[in-house]
Amino acid sequence: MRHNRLVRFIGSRLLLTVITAFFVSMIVFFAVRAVPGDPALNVLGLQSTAADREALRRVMGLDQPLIVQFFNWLGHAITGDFGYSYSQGRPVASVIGPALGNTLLLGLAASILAVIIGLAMGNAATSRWRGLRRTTDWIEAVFLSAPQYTVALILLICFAVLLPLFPAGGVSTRGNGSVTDIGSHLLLPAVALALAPGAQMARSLKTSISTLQATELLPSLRARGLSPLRITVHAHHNALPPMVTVLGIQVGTMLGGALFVENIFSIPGLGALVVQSVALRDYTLIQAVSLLIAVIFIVVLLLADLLNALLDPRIRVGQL
Amino acid sequence: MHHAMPRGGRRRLLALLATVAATAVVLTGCASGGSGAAVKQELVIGSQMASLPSLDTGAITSAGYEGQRLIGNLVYEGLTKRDVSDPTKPAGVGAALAKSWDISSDGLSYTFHLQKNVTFTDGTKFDASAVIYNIHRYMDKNDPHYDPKLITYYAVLAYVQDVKKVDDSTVTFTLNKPFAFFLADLYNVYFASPTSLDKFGSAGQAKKPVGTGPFIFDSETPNQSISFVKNQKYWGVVPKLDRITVDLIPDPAARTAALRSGRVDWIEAAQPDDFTSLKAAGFATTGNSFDWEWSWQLMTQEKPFNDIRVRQAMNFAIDRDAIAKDLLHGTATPAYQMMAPASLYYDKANNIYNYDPAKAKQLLADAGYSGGIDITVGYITSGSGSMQAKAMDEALQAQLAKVNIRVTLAPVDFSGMYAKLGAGNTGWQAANQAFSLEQPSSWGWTLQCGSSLFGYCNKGFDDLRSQALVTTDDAARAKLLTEAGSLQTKDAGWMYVVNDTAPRAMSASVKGYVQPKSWWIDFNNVSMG
Repeated sequence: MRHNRLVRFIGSRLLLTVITAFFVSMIVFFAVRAVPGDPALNVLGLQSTAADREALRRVMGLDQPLIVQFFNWLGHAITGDFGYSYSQGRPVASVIGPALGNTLLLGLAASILAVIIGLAMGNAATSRWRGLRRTTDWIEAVFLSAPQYTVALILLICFAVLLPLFPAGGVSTRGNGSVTDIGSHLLLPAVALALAPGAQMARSLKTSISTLQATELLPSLRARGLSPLRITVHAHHNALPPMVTVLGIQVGTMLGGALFVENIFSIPGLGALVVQSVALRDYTLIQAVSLLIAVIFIVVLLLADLLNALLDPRIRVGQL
Repeated sequence: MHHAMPRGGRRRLLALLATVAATAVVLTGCASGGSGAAVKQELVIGSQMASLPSLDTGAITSAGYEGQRLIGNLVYEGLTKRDVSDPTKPAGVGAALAKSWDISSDGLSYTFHLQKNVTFTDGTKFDASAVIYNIHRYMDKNDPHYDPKLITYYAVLAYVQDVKKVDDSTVTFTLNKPFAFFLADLYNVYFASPTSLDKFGSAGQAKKPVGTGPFIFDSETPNQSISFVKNQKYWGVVPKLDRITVDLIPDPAARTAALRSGRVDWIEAAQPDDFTSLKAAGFATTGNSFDWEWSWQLMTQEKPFNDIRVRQAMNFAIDRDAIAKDLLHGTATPAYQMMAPASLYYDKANNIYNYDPAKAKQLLADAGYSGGIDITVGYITSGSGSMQAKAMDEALQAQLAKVNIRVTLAPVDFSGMYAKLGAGNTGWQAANQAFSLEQPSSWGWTLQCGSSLFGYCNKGFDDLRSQALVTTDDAARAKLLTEAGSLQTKDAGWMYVVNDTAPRAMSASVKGYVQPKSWWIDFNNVSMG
């Protein structure tokens, strides 16, 4: 029975994912075509003749009515064929593959950092020490409001140039793909991405813990002789589901922030690819990248919900 | 179960401290992995390229001239090249895989005498058959290796009727009509190893290019970096550098940071604003005026620029020195005519404009605009060739306002500019684009009657250029184009502003680099000290 409910839950969410992906694709498809620009002109240059450009537009399939183009694209996309990127001179799939890997790696590193920041600051903000609470609130406000672009630049200048502790960009040193090498490359950009989501999670944790502190639960647990560690675990167990939800939503913020952060740290990821493909009006590439980003976001939200179901039995049986 | 500590709050604090300590351990652990193994003669370049192109010959140019400069010219060679050996002279045509050539008197037949003892880096011999193999791959639809994508990058091959082998080291190209820039435009028609193409096709070349150049492709990290190692058996001067790595760093601030942190030794397109501080920190900066015209192209068919006096007024109203020296810190040189000083077609006598606001006002009044004019100017917000477009255009806007030329600036991105110009209905009175005039064969879209996107038309100019296109004698051809430049300058077809100097910055350990008067560079004499 419970098992069925979970399967139905996942099934309906996956269906929702497909529907959302469809609408995202459609909106992006028509939006980018409404922006002035001619991909054929970008490839051939202004000295090309109108006839040459028309011929290339035919090759690219851009001579057909928009709606036909869209369903053509959709038909191929469903079979996993995302077409050819003219600005990069290779199939879209081979452009996106490595970029996706880099962004996922960066996103994972940033998520881990955000969780650490969230746990540390959430606890500090509910500390018994007033000074620490005040300082944490202040830091939280800074983290929440600092633009990622600025944070990234400051981190780069401070910790890669003035105090050269970390490399100034890229994903790895050539010929060295070790975990420490990749880690040292990803740390600064991950910090730039993690500050705001971390602070958001800290807020959520702070609220949960303060709510809990106002109840009789913690004193009664203490009265029952539980160790402080166990009490902390109990307190966090209750606070985790909202934190996971916040993290899931914040992944969206991170994907947006990756646009800037990847550029500054010259990480060839999806964010950098969006900027390039839009600048060059590489329609097939824009379509594929935006679809992928949308799907990542939806899947992360789904995973967050599933994780919550695991953490909180009340969600699992639909009592909440 | 432990019952000892009564103070839950303090425990939580301890947990927090433990977390912080763990993070610190991670941080320091990571930091120790930062430095890679050093190769002795390795040059690492921070390029403004945003992505790596396909590495197949012609397709490399899809990453713009940067791709050709930092990738194509290292691995591949053409029959000719841009000769940048003398940094005091404009870059003319030089011999590359062809050591010499004969041109028939009708200008239709070019016989190339190939370098002997040249091999591709996979050991295949470079000879007449290899030349024909490659040319057929580009343009013979019946050839089994024909690749239709490549011909779009090689407009010059449209002039080729036929290519024939005379002997092992001689080939003759027959043209369908005379074209005097044939030698010049062949410079990027690269030759790839027929053995490699037979085995792996175009797709193989796109991943692992095999040419005859001074460097051999080594490895690529997708859209992050690409590296090359020295070709020990290079037929020409073997490079001093063992390895060149090109890192892709499109963000200008990040490029500067990469240089300062030691991640790269050399950055392309350095920001003028960073020059002073980079010099102070011990970095070398280089630059040399080259054939790059940063101007406002005036719509000469429409009011108010259909009146030559208004166009001249524009050219007298601006203080080019202030732009080049103050705003751009000397990374540009003032332009007083169509041709750049680094052009083969430059004549100092054509510098007929100067900063004279009173004269500009007078010219406007003579043209019937004593109250001034209102114009809209489209410009490209960013891109490697646009220099500091926003700051420069705003400075020009302020200068022009002093003579009652009121400018509204219309920022667009590169694709938006192309689309508007291509559609022919911009709604602007002028457009700000920067480009090179190095290839007179492709001036049509800017300057030719009927095809100029800016409406420029001067029959005398077109006649001179048409003659030049079929004049095979270098001096006579240069004379014709110098004269054409003089006509366009007198017409005030554009508002001439500055020529770029291709500013670069590099660490003090880079030795032997002297920047030529060109976009093109070579790494022959460069070494790491």
